[in-house]
Amino acid sequence: MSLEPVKVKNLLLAAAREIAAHVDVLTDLDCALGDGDHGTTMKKLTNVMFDKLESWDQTTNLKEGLESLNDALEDVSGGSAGPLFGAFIYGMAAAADPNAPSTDAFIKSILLGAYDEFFITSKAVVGDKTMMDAIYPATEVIRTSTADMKTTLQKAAQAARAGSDNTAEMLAKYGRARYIGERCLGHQDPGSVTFAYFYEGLAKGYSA
Amino acid sequence: MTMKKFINNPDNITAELLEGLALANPNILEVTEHNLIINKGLATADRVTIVTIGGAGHEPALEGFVGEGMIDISVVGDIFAAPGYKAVVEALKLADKGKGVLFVVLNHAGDMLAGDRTMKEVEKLGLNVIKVVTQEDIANAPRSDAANRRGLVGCVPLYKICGAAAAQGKSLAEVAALAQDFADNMATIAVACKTATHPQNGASFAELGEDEMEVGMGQHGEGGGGRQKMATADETAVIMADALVKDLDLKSGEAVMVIVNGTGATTIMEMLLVFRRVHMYLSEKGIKIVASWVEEVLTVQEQAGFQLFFARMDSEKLAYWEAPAKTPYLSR
Repeated sequence: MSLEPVKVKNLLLAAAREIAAHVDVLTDLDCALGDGDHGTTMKKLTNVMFDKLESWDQTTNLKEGLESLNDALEDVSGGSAGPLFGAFIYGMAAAADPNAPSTDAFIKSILLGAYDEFFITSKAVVGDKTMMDAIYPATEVIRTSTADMKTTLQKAAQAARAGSDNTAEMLAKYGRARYIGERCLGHQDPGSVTFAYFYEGLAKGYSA
Repeated sequence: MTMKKFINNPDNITAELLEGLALANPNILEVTEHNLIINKGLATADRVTIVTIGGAGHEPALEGFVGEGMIDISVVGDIFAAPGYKAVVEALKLADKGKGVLFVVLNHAGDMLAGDRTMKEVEKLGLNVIKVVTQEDIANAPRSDAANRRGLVGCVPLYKICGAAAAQGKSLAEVAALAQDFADNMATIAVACKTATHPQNGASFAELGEDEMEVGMGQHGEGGGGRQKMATADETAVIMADALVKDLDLKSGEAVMVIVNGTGATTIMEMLLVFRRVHMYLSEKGIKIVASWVEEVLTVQEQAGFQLFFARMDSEKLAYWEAPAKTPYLSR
């Protein structure tokens, strides 16, 4: 069975759209903890995604497409979110297997690969009040789920959102929020919120 | 969100300010694609060269110190945001004149990620580059935990001292050792009494109360944990100088450089009051100020406050500090 690039395109486009629709939320959160530019950065990064994904069609080589997407994202001047998001997409490209048995299997493999590369680059673990607090629980759902892909992505989105909500009660170990100590309590980590939107977008954009 | 700044389209601020910098300093530097600010003397340089990276919005630094005797290429990201690593690799390739490149990175999350990613590529390409990280903010972590210390104004005198050493024909190993030695013997503490707004989105950073100041404020208006009641110039100078002397373990008879770096909305008048009291404080302790600079060097938009910087000096470093340089914001 051949892969359906447009299905993957729609999935990633929906994730980018979900983030782009909430840029103001991300900016406000970052003002409480950091320097207020996370929303601006995500706007730049999602614009690159819209540009690059637009040309994907049923003939797109998914591995090359993801590599090209990563390449364009790495050009963005995006503070720390830029290289971290870039690493996430790079992991997708690295894990992309053109001979995957189905599009669902392909989607699963790139989402697991994204986590692997993100972990290597960020060095963060759950509880550090970072993007990882959303990415890890979502990835665990995707890794272990036996349900169909639509249900899996919905559960992953719920796990990412819950993980992100939990960051409000964490002390930051990375980034600018770590410098304000206990004053960061009560505020969610903006990067984790970005990834809650990302997985929610995947769940919305999935069509069986 | 109302913002009272003289800007045009917020998305174009970085490009426009770099264009302005190049137009204002046509004999010193040029700006190329991907926000590379290049010393015009680089074309004929036959020496170790110096490359650095960092976001915009802190002018004059970093790009304002590109020129002979200081930085050869400054790779600028966007406002408060690090550049992508590919532009940095391009800069290092351009800068290498056969004698190697000193690559200076300030310890901020985005800059460090870009720096690490760049060094992976440098190894692949076999470029002769040594990376030195500046991390001298004493606010958040002890000296033993340097990974958690931010890079503040200390990078600027480091560029000056290393730029002079490079100009005098020192090898990359020597320039890098000097950079590390200077970095290991410097310390900064910042204070703010009014925070700034992000020029691209108008967002204001954590608000400080009417009668509050924050000791330990970072380079992007992000907090530092030391909120206290607003104090006088003399009181603030003593709180900060005392913290720096302790951190550096400065002793009577030692020589230091002192910088009072305004972060944007504090007047030179106030900074001179602070410097006066710092001078008195150090004199009482028998510590000699051999180099001083009271100026806006590395700013945080219209943040009111300043950074106080001390570095342990010797005659070699002092000679490099006083050596010629020609950049838009430091010339001698």
